[in-house]
Amino acid sequence: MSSDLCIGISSKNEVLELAAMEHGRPAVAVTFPATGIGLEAIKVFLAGSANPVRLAVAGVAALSVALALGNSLQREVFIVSAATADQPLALAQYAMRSS
Amino acid sequence: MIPSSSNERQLAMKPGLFRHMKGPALNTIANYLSPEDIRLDLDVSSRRELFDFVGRQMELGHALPLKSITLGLSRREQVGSTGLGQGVAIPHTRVTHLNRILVSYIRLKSAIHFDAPDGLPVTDIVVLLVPKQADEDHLKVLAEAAQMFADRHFRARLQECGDALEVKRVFDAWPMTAAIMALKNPTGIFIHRREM
Repeated sequence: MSSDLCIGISSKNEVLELAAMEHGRPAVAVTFPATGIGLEAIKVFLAGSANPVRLAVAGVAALSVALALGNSLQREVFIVSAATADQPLALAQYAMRSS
Repeated sequence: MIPSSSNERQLAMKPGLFRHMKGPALNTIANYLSPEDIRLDLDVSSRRELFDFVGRQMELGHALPLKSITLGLSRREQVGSTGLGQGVAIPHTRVTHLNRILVSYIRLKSAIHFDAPDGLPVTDIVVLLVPKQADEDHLKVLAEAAQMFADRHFRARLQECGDALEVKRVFDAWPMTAAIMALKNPTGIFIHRREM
């Protein structure tokens, strides 16, 4: 079973809603500001992860968020149409299914 | 969540102004931050000196191993800077046998280079020591710190604080602090006492 950390990010105008899932653990949902500081804080969290990270991103700034966060080894990023999934938990589940 | 001045109390009593707040519960960071772990105007010239200080502080205050704290913080910085921009950094490390997250806030006397993404030197430091298995709380604290420090009103209020208890009150009162500052100064223009 994969031990990847699966993250879903829904990019809204003022916030980045994020859900994190790992097999065997309950999902965690938090909100970061959609600013430079918010994006950097997410990067800081991802950089500290011991496991490979799989990200699914949707929403208004999905492309730039994906580019900012995906630039690393051991990290896969999916840009997802909001018609497929637009809530952070559904996006994290999308990332988990894509393993 | 007790406003610290009569002016703030009057603002807090305005109907509907803080209707989103629920009872006396503190935010996550305020729960983990004690006045003993707040240090203002620390005089260091580099990340190494800063981490040495944090190691000593954690050894004295929490009986944690100095070397592993200092080394852990330094190694994490080698993976990538924990500078967030706007003069803020969140250095952190995982610590074995820790049963809860420890948060420390340090305001530096002079800004130091931190390889931050915006290239600006850093004065506001939030140190996180995280238990080995605390991803959920770690993420919550990071998200909350990002929300706090992304708010220029919150940063300005911290800069005005003169002692650790005042800083603790600002963290305890967030997000009300930011709302009060926005009402007091809607222009968002601040004159800081200290130079960057």
